[in-house]
Amino acid sequence: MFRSIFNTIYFFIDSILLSFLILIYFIITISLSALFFFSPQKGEKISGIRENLLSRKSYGTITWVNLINLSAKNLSSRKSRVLVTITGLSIAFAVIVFLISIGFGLQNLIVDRISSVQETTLIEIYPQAGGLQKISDESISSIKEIKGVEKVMPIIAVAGKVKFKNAEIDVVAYGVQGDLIKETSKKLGKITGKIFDNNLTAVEPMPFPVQEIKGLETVTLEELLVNPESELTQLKINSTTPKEAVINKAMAAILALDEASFETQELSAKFVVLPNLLEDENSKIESLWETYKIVGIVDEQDNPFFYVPFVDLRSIGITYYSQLKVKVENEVAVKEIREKIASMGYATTSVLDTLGEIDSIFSIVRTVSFIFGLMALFVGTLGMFNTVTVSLLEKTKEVGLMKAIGMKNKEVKRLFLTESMIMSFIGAIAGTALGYFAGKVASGLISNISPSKEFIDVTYINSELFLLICIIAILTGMTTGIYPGRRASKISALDALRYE
Amino acid sequence: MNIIEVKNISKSFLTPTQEIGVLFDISFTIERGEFVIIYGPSGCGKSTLLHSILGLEKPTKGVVKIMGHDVWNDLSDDERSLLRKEYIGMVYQQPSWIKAVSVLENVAFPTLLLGKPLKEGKILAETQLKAVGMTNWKDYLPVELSSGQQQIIALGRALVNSPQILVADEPTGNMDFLSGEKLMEHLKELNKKGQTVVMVTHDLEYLTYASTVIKMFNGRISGIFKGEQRDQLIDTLKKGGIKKILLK
Repeated sequence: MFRSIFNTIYFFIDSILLSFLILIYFIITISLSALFFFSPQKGEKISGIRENLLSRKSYGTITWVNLINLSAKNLSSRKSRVLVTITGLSIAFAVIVFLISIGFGLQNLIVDRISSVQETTLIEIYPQAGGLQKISDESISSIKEIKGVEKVMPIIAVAGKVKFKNAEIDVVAYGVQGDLIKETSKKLGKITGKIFDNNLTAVEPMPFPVQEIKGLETVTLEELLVNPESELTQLKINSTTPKEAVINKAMAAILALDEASFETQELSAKFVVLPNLLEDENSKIESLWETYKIVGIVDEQDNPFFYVPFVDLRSIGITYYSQLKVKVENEVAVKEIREKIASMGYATTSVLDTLGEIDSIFSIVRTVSFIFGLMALFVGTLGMFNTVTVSLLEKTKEVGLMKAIGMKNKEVKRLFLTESMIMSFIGAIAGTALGYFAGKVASGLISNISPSKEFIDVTYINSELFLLICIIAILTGMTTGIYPGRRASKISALDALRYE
Repeated sequence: MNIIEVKNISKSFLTPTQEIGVLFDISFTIERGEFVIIYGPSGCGKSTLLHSILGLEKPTKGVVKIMGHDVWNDLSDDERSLLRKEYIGMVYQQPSWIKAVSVLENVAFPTLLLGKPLKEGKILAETQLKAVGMTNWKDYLPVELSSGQQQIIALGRALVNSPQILVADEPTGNMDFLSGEKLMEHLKELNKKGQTVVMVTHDLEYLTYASTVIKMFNGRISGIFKGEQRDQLIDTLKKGGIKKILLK
């Protein structure tokens, strides 16, 4: 029992070692062949170097290089059969490489597209649904202190009423810093015109009962209130920042704005503040009409909205913010920073969530592809097993001779294992190349039918895939070499010599 | 010094119905530098005896020692392999080859089993092929040659590791008279240089080459002829007394 376990472990280690030696042998042989090819006058010398490099001085057992040489010659003596076997195997490897590389390629393509419109180093922060923790100036200060946070940009979202020429529409208005528009420009698309450069955020102290807006005049609430008697608090926008707005294309379309001459256009807007942004959730606040100059149009055209300077909305008494966008130093830091922010009681989202979901979906796609590939490989492996076993039957007398001359059982096993390993490696190398080129052909065909006509590469081969192919090649070689090798080692030299 | 020692070897094969004895209580010794021919009619157990000596066929009882090593009691299967490749060169009645490689590489093969690099093995093989006059055939596949040529090359392969003992099992069995003579001359030359040769044959014509003749009959040794006895045997043979020798 113990001996059997020991033998199995020994055989496994031996096989791994053998496969690596074959791989190294291939690399050295190919490298030296290349050297020889490029400098034929040095062929003799290189041949000598090769002999010395690859030969082992410990006498008593056949060297790896001689074993591999002998196996290679045995294989080349049965060219057509070996070629058919290797072709079958390489098709199986090609199927695996093709399907998995397409899986990786499509995923990368989608991820690239998402990354091209979404900043992966941005974290969006919201108040928890039904939670008590709101986003305030204190939140901004606390988040800014987290290591790795570069910038914290608040957003106030309110309902906006807009009058333009004879039209009056309801749209979402965002009070943002100029920086936020810059940081999200990937998503917003091309900006025509300019964006306002106002980055003011802090309004200290809080607006009620006295507003002190940084750099602005100090006013009392009474001065701001238009009609103190009404339930609805109407406030003037009390900032002195330039009244500039950036609208999106969807809004421009609704307003029938002439994009060629928008820079001369103005719109009137007033803002209705949602109660959740206020200290007193029972109060209702809206601003008076204010005139904004349209300075820029962003390409985004899904839903109509417009941006105004953050301080404009802040100045009408808003205490809490709708959302924060946090820019972090790099993608790696995102996870840890999100966890810290979540522990403060906020909900966070990141485009990395979407990317993670895409990864999960494509993991399943790749696994299914891999299973299909393995089915093809199973058929290829059976073919190779058949070839090696038939080869054993044909070589019974040779095996007997080798054993009679003095070849050890272990060496006989290795000889057969080497043959299957060589076939497996050649199959894997050819299959990888075939799968790679099939992927490129598929990419070419898809590119041809795509409207943009640019080359879209739907394949991607990474180092993990190469490693996987190497492991499968080793396992295939081992699986198909074990049985014939063991049978060969049990052949009686005498019986074999008598065998006809 | 005894290079081979055989003590009370017996061998029987078990069949489903009975046990068939092939060798019965065989003992002899072979000294370094001897040319021993074991002869006897077909089926008398010559080859079985040879295989028992080589570590290929385990005797039912008895001891075989080669260079002092107890082949069947002290050595493992792999150690017997090592013993064969270190000390023994073999020529069989039916030459066997690694069909995928050339004559030169076939002759070099036993050197590879000793861990020598192919380049060194090829140099040694070239020397042996030159010695047996087969250099011109080195790049052919062995199966492309005549059986006589194959047997000469098999001799080269047997000698490539400079073995202590050269064993030949009916080496002339498949050869015409001239080829057989040529092979025997090679063996004679080798023996003159000190090579120990053990040969099995049923062909009495070759007994003249031997320094010791072991006669076998029905699994037993019926005579060992050394010195004067061997000379008398050869004289009888030369006088045409083959029948007399066979029946003696």
